Amino acid sequence: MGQTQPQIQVKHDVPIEVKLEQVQKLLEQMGIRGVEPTAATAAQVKKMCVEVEKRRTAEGYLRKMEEVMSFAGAAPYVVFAFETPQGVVCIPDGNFVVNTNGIYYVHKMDCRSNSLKCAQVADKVVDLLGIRPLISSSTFLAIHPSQPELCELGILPPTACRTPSQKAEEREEEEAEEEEEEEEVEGASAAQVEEPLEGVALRKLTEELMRAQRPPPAEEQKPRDPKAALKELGLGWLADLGEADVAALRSAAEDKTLLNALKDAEKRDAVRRFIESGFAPPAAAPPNIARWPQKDVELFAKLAEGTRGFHELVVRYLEAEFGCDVSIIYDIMQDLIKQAGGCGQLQKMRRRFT
Amino acid sequence: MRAAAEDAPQVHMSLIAQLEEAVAAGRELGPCAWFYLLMVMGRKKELGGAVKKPLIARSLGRILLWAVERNGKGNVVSLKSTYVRNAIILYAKEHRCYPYDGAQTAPQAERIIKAHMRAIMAVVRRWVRAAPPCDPNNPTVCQRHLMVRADWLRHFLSGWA
Repeated sequence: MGQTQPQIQVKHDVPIEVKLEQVQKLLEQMGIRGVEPTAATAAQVKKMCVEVEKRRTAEGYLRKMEEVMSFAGAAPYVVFAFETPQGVVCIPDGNFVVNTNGIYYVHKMDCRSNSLKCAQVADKVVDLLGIRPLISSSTFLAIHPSQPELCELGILPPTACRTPSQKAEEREEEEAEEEEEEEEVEGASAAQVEEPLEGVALRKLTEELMRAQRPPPAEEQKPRDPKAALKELGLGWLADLGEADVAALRSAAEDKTLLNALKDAEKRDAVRRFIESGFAPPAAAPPNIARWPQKDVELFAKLAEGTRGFHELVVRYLEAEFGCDVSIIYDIMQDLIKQAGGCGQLQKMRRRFT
Repeated sequence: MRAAAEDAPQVHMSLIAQLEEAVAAGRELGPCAWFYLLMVMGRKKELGGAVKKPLIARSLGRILLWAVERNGKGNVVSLKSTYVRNAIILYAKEHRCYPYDGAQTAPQAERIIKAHMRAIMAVVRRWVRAAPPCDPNNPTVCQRHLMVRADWLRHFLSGWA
């Protein structure tokens, strides 16, 4: 390994010249003695080392290695061979041995009794050779198969030390951070907020506030004599129905639908009930209609107008929703429920369809 | 005359003060008022002051209560910013609040809401901290994902929003 080609650098910054002395020094520092380098050909190294990992796509790196070996007659790095019960694990891994003429300086270490020490040596050697990107966790685990111990010593990277639940949590944290960042970016772009839109919203808010502050409209004055008012309308016979809101009755009478409705006995009863209830809203109107979205309120008012009952309201709603003859929908629904074997089975049926 | 008018004490309340007063007095504001409030949060000058957190909470509470009541599915709600943002926009659309009264999409309005999400999410996070854990076995996940039980949220918001 006495060749000197310091100018040539290969991928991943693998130094061309790794002095054997440096390796010896390292071993001494770690209290390891009796490890002497032996020369081996590429074929011998390949035969000796087990392939821990599949060959990685480092073709450019390997080409450089070949060039260096052809030029210098020796590998630009030393090979450490750790003898484990499962076989000989090499650093660099066997799949980085190139097929060319030249020699590798192999340092054999017996790791059957003290594999943790070997893993530590492997870690140092990786740093010395500067080949960290090429060595994955599985190589270290092949030398010393105890992940917690390797993690504790910092030999394995933190990413390899996480448990699946930790990984999941980290991913979640990252997502949350990303979301926060997104919010920040969004917040930063708020500098160019659309002024006109906000201005209109501001005006609308003021209008809403004014509406809320306005006192409720004063109730219309009831005529002194409701019966006389009814007579004026030609509805004197309705006077005995009780405390009717004459103003409402007047507006209803002005609308021809009421007068037309009174011709039909059934409808007349409905009107009677409506008046008797003190012009209460239709029973189908839910109590919290005030909190409904405006478009739903409008739709409800439109559909409920002139309906005779809840069934008719539903029919109208379905017609508005699907835009077709609702009797077909009823038929289809009945068929579906029959086919499903009851309402309870509808969910199952839906799952089958989707 | 002019001088006298100028000397007269100005009894002028800022818009934000009027809003706070109306809310405190229990006056029922229209549904869109809550959306508009979240829209104009950044206009301190016109509002006459910053919109305080209780008012933001009230607006957001109304909107989220509507969103939760509208969607009865699921036991747990994840109040992440995307959910909250979508709920606000959907609320405006359904109630036909400006600018959704004439258009189905309003990118400008969405941008404004996005710009206010930081303040809005601060309120949401406070609620989440006050909520019981959605999963007693894994409370940290609930906190991290801003997950709360839907029934709790409904109960909590309907109490005051």
